[in-house]
Amino acid sequence: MKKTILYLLIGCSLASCAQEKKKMNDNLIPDLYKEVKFKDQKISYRAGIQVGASNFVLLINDVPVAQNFEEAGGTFNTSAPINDMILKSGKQHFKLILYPGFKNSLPLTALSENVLAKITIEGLKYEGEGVKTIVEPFTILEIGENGKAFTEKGKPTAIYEGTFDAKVPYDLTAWSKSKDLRKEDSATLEKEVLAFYQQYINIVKNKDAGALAKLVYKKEKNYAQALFLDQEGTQNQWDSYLELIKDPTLVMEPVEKYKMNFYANGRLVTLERIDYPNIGEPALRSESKEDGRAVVGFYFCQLHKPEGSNTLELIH
Amino acid sequence: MRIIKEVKINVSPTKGVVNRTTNQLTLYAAGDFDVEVTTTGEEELGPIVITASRIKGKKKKPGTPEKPPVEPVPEMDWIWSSLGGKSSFQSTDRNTKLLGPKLQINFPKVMEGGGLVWLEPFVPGTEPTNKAPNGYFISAKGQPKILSAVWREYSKNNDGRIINGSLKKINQSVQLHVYTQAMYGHDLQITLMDHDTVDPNDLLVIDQKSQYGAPVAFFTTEVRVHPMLPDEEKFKLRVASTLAQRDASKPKVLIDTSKYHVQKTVIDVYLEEGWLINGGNRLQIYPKVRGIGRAKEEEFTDAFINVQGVAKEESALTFSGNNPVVVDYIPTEIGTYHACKYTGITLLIPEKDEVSQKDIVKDVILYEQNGTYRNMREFEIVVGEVKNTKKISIRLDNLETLESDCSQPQGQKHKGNVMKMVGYPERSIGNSKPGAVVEKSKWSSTWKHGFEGFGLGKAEEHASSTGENALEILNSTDALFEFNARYIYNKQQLNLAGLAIHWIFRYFWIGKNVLIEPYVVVARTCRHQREIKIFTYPDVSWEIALEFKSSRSKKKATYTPLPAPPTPPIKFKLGLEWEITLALHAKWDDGEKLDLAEDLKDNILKKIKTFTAIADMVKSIFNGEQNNSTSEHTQPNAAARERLKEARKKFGTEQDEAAQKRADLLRVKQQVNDNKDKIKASSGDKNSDEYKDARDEQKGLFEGVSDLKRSVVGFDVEWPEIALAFSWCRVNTNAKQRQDLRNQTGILLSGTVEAKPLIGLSAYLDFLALIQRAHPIALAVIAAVDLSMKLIGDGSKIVCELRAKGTIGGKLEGFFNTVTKENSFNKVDQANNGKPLATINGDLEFTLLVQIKIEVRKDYVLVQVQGSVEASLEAKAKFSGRGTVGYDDKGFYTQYYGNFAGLEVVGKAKISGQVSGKKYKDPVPTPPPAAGANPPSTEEAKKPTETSSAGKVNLEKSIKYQAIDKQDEKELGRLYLAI
Repeated sequence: MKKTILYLLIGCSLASCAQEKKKMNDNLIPDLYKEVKFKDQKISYRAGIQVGASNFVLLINDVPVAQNFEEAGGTFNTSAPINDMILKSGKQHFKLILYPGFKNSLPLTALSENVLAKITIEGLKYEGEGVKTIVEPFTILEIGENGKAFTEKGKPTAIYEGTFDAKVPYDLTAWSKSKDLRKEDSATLEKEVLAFYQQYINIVKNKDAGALAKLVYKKEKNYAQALFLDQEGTQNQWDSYLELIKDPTLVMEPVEKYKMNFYANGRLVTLERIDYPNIGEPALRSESKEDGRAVVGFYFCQLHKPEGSNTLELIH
Repeated sequence: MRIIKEVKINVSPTKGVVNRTTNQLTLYAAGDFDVEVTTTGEEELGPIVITASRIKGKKKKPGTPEKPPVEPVPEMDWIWSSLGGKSSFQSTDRNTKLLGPKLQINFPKVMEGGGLVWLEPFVPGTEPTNKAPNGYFISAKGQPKILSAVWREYSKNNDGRIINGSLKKINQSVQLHVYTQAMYGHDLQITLMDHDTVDPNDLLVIDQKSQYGAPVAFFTTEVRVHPMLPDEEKFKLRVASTLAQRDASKPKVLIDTSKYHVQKTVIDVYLEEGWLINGGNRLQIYPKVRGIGRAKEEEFTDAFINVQGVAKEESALTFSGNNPVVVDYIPTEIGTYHACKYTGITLLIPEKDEVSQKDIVKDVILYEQNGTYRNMREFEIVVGEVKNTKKISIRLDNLETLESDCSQPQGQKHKGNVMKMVGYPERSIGNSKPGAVVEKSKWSSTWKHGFEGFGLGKAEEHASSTGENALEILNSTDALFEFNARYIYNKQQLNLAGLAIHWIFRYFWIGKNVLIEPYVVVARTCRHQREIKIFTYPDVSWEIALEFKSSRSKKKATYTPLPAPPTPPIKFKLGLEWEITLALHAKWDDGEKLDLAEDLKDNILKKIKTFTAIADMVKSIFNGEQNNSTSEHTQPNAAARERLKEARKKFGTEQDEAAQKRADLLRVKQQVNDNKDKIKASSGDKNSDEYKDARDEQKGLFEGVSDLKRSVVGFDVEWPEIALAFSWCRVNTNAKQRQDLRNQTGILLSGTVEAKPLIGLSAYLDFLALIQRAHPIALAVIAAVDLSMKLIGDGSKIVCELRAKGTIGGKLEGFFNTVTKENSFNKVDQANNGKPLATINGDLEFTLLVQIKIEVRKDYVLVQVQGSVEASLEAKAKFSGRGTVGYDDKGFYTQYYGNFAGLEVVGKAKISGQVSGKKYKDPVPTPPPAAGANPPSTEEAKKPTETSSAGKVNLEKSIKYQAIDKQDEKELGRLYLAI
């Protein structure tokens, strides 16, 4: 009888231990707000992007901010947060690459004469529902303004790059000291990336929230700091991941129709789709049902190998 | 040489009737009749005596002298021919199958219906007379009936294969053959219908181009005789026969072995593109046929062709189109063959050769019996009143007025009385100016001409007068009539809206409105009695130079007050003052010239409203007021509408504040300028309090400006500056131009119109302004990015700016002639002259910036351009304008058109926290190959994909919302230069 009680106690203790560990993992991401520093110096840089009559990719510090590879009979507009591409204060590099757009689902081969582009940067401070301008919007690139002719008309592509200053209180190592993956054997690296993606897929299949939290931890830690996320912010991030394992209809798709792309001057690697109209979207994808309709999900998954390590990890 | 004494037709009273007065045999139906010729010797001269008697029941009149015995004439030739297209015959036209003095002739079945055939014997070696006493007009009635119809391929020889039930395309040419019985020479009215199974059948308008003054709904065509086609042999519903005759000596033997003919009408049909508008995408065309003057209409629904699609290749009738009227070839009345006759009317008018300056004569055919101009044409001429009159000569061609041929009673014979003037403008003016209008004869007896053989010069004296406006008849014979034509100006003062202006403005536009009583000359013979009408137009010529601009022609900002919701349109108070420079001259009657600018100034001022109308239209497009409710765009849901309503309510109460902000802004701007001066003045010592204060003040002012800027609504209109220089006058055609134009006059307009600009616009609305106006863009943005009321807040996180900017202007330069259509304003006619075409055109570019600044979120919004058809992509929606020069009965005008490409807002994606995105997996068509330059360009990209939908959307598949509807080209305004 005593033995039994002891076993029960031991069993209870082990279960309690496991539950504690699970709880810790569950809070891994939501609790990241506790590690966010410099909240009083919070600043949210945003890029105002307006690109007309062409497709494009905008990169800041060689990491994609926004892109459009679809119909381009009009003007693409967005305001995108860019703190997660800014690792520390100082000169930030930007690059806008223009491509001919699609028209009536058909690709054009030359840039239109009507291309219009305007990229602005501004610094805001979000306070509750309000917002305050810290850095007035300034234009870092403007093409086709005031009826000026677009000089790259007819060409298959055009690239514009330059720098702008940004002042942030944090200094994130993130991928800045990581290995230049372009120097690695491409085939081997691709296998490693695919293996990582498979690991991600298996975690989702096994509905292993703890493993998932660990997998995305470094990415989310950087993100939380860069965006000065508060408790609600980090909880929202984790909720987005939890959808992956809580949706009973969700099935991970095979990784296919992709190209291995390098960003951040070779420090980041990811797989992106090459098929229209999914061009440029992450190759890590799921399919689920919502309101009886099939829904495709895609997940941002940019990997790096930290200095001194030969193992890929999710960093952005 | 023997002379024909008598031509005698014998026909049974049951078969037909002979009219001795007109020498006409009318058979009740096709069939046989006998004809016999008797002759006398050459010594026996005198008038021919014709008798026509029936075989039975005709008794010799008592007292008729015995005829001398007549020997049969062994040889005799015959004219036996349809009168279609011919009014006289020569010996070479003889029917080689008919010989001898006595014949039994079989009137062919195929010619039943009333169309006339001419039968005349003549002695070999002589010529037929073509006159009724010597021959007979023969026709057969029969039982008229419309039998059948078939469609055939188009063929010049009318022998295309049958295509009933086939599929044809628009822009192709086909033929319709309609078969009849006993309708030879009749006119048919043929209507083409499109058969619909559900709706009523549609009528297809034959002549859309209104070349006859108005659209023509049906073909008018004539039944004729055509050689029988091989496939017609088996037809049941057709009438066919040979054109056979019989020799009386061998009555049972057909001597004519000519081919069989059928009675039908053939219509060339061009399949018009315009028919698709009424009939829909696919047509099933069948004919309805009615004899003109008959009530019953036959409908041949089984005889149809299907028409779908448009053929790119030209066909036989592509350029000529449909000819709705083809008649008057086969005569059915004998009046047109009377021997007392003329066959044509020609008008002659002297002119100077443009190049050599030699005197030449323009001849204008007004009528020709068997030629192109079978319908009498009227004649127009531009003349002055006194100095610039023109001599008109009217000549009758082939005039013959032998008293023996004339059917009028003695004393009223046509000879010596053929032409007479019965109307002239001098007469009507005479009513108001007694004594001024009189005929004066200058011709006396001096005129000698080669027409004496056809008529006698009249000896009658016209009343003479010395009045300036007297009618001047220069010559009047049976064959030639000459007079001076003038235009008599109405010189009574003209009142326009209570203002007395110079009488010459009556003739500002020289159209039909200024026509006065025409000169009318009648030309009478037994065959024809025709009225020759000569319309005179005034010889005034005009020159205008006009320049106007508004007091606001140079850009001025016009900040407009915001309206109280829910009244969406903004009222733009114009209150413009126009500055006008005008020069206007008129010249007439070879010398009179006046400067008339002052008279027209007020009138021109009123017309400038055209341009304010253009600005209003542009503004209403900018304000989204042109949008229609049938747009195919997704309508924002109830929640979005509710948010807009709330926002309007909220901001509506703040409009006074907004107006105040604008006033503040203007004030602050002034302060900024003042402040700049202060800084400049104190910059010598940057440590001075003045400098520091000025800098602080500047900082505060800039913050104020930044705060105010968002509510400012700008609408700067660049008002038109138009410079116009034109001259116009009515002009005669000349001898070098086509005959069909020579009877007409046209207006020659030449000059320039320059707009610098026609309209210019610089307009701006921000998100608050858009919300306050319930602008469709505000609603589209709220719906596309799913903004809540909380986020809309004071709009601080939302950038939504609609801008329009650009100018429309340019210069039109050229000329046109309204009658010859020579033109350099119209591209279509550029080939005629080769002058370069300049145009008034340009664009107003509409841009919409949408940026939603919600923390940790990216909203992708595509502002898409509608209606761009070029391969090149557009970034901005454009309002495009163009200008033209045109004319109508009221005057000439410059006309402006505009179209708008259209804007739509597409919600593309919301990406939060750089974690994931989602989209629906909908099927789409096979994807295109990737563009060569795109980074993902690989073989894989060319393969079909299983995923789809158009965007990286967070479960909101890209949805297009209406912003500003596409506007097809429409007329914006028309500036008339008319009184």
